[in-house]
Amino acid sequence: MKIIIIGAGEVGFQLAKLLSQEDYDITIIDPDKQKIMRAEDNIDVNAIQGDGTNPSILLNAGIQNTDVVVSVTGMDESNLIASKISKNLGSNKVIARLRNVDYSSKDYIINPSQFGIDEIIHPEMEAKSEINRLVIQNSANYVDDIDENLKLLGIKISDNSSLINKNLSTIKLNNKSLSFNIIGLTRDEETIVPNGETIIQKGDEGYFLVHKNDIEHLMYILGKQVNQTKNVMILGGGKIGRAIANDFQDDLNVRLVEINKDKADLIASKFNVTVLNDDGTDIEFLRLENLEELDSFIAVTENDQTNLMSALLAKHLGVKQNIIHVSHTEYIPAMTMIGMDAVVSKSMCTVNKIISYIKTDDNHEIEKIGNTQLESIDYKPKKGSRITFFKSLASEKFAKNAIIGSIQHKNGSFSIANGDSVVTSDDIVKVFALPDAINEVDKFFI
Amino acid sequence: MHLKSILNVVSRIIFTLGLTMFFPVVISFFYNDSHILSYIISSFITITLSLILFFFTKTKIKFSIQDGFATVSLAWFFAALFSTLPYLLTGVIDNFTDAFFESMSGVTTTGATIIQSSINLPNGIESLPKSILFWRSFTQWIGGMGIIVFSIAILPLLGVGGIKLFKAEVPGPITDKIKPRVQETAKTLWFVYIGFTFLQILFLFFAGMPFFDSICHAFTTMPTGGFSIYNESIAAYESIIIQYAFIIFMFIAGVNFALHFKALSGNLKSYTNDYEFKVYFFIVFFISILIFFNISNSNSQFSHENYIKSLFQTVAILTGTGYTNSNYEIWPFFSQLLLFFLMFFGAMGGSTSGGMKISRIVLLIKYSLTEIKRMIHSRAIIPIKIGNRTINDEIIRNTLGFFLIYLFIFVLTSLVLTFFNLDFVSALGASASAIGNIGPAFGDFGPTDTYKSLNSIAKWLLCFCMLLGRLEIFTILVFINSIISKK
Repeated sequence: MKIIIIGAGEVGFQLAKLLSQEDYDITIIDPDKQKIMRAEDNIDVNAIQGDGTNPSILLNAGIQNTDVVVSVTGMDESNLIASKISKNLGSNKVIARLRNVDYSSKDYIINPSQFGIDEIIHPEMEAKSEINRLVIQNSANYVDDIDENLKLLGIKISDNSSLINKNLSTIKLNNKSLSFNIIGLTRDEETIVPNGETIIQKGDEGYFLVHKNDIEHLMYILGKQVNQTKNVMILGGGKIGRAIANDFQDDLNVRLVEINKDKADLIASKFNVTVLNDDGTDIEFLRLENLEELDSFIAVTENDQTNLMSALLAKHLGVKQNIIHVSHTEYIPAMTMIGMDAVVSKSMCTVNKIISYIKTDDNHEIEKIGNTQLESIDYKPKKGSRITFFKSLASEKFAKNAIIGSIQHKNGSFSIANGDSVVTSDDIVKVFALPDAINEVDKFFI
Repeated sequence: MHLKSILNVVSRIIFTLGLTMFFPVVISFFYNDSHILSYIISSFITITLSLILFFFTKTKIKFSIQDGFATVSLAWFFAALFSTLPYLLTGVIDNFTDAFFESMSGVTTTGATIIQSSINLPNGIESLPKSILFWRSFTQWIGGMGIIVFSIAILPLLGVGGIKLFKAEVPGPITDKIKPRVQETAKTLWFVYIGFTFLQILFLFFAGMPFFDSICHAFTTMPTGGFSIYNESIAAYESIIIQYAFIIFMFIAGVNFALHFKALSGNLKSYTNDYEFKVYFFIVFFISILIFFNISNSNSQFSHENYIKSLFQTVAILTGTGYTNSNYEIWPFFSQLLLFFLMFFGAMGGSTSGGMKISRIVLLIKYSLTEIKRMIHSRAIIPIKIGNRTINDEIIRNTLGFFLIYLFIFVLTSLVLTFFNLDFVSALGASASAIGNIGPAFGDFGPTDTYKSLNSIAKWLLCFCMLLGRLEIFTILVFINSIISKK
């Protein structure tokens, strides 16, 4: 599949990097020479220096027979124009990043479809939703809603956990009363799709698929405390900070720290939160704020260093959960190692969302799971496909690097897959797999 | 440096080289020349050693830019080293230095040979077994488009660091990827290369050349190599059509392969729109006319034969092929000196030719001219353009550096050669010929001579120069620098 990426910033670069490792032909366009050289030197793509809103540059990049154009320049206006031109020049699918959320509201004066955009991504809103889920589920390091009842939780296994050095079959056997599935482990920046023999090691982060009512039980097994979130502090009144404040202002006790006086005034007048006009990296200020009573500390300023510094201070002062936003995606793996409970990056959220859009086709509904290499794929098994002949899932061998997570039945109810589950062609099956396993998995369902 | 990763990739490349040694096995079987076992053993040794190296260095491949240069340098060195096996095992060359010289001259597409009439080989090259003749040609063919590009095309595992390796091997100041993926680019280049090779084989065959001769010569024309299967090179063929076929295919081999690809995918104007191509064409035309008038004047017959000779030698030397169809050493000095200077030029960037490449020469001239302008308008901003492409400062700086180092190595090598009692003309010629990957030179190493008589230290020096020239100097120097600076 041919893809043109307009804009080689953080998102464009990471997107190109991830896609080029799979079977995609990528052309990346940016006017900035440095960025083009970075792309050329580090990833296997065709890098063109030029303006992505210029039709002749796009034609030169072979837009006529391109499947997907992704517009991720720093400016909304450029993205809109680039999208319009790309669509007119014959690109099949156009995905654009837009910062301004007004574009997606219904009664706004212009709408993205007029510009030929098929899918829009608002990075700040993606990051906000991810942070919100983490705040509510404050003992997890990653949270994803599979549907309203089913959750995917990424949880760091504590060093003294009883699960360590046990294989998954044993763990399941010991906890028969609980229905859950471990669909992935991250170990040393690598993602492992486990099977019954996989042994949990110190330092692993497990990805647990579980019903929302069972979360407390699961946390108990993992030796984690569950407490309801009441007090949160947001550092930084930027787009993300304001969006979080807006969502939580009615239910939680929210304090928002903003260093800029004018901005702080504006936020105070708009939202029902306590706005503190102070410096979040000032330890004296933080000390006075009684952080030990805080459930979540959310550092979302524009500056990665500020976020890191203040989150470390907050942890030191006794906050239960710290969530940090970083713009540089390269920092993500290092962050959890130095004591951050959860790391969110709007760039990574955007990249994941775009990859999900690109990969989703008639046969697959694909979603990339944040911070891992896993993808979740929804299958409606074809009549007579191999999987429907399985007497039970445990009875036969499934594809390598893939695992069946949950099954949605005809009546809409979800069940978490286990060895005894049976799949019929009326079900919708959610598979979790590494990208290179998908062709193999297809053979079971199509 | 990630030594394990480097050696691991090198081992894969050597493995593929080992596989290609089965081609001479087939030839040997076909002509029943009793050397079949030598090739099987050569292949066996190469494959076994590469597998041992592979399993000892199995690791998660990590690649820095430095590692890319190291890998390419080592891969070429080992390729030349293992290519000596057939020469040694068949016994056609009796000492290692000579075998290494022949083999390095092969893979770097230089075409300088040490094979001459001796007790073992009463008729020089013509007494070599067919399978060895083939192997000599084949080493040039594989070296022409590049063993790295070859490996990238067939080994998907090189994908990640591939672009670094690709850039370190493909000649010319600017490397274009003609496809988004480096593996696709490599495949396409090889596809075009193989296509032209087949075309030439057919051409030569229908022009009346024996089939085996056609294969061997096509295998040394497309890489601008220059090994022939006759002592007197192409002069052995009297047919005018064959002479012209060689001229045309040598010319084609000197064109940037990215242009061939664009032309083959329908854009025939790609040639005429390209500035470097126009300069290339002009040089061939202009210099061949100059030589034609010069030699015709001296033997006072303005014949078609003279023109073929001058055109043939111009293209052969400019592209670095190094075939000869006449003894240019009996030509007037003006023509000889012109050919000598052509050795530095080379043909287009992105081709299989040697030398400095025309685009670099053009760039240097244009840059020098802007300096004159700058003397008057000291703050003027003067973009340097090749065609309608503006060349940025980094490339200009790189080109200036390349030019200076190239000349420096040329001077140094000539000096060392004179130390071994060579005369002026022979030393300068041999040194320019080795760095430019040409083949024949002047004086002791003219079209009718070989390099056999050279002192063995001097042979090793020339081997080093050939490798420097083929990898466009920087690759090897970066590698050497990274070894020295480590300590």
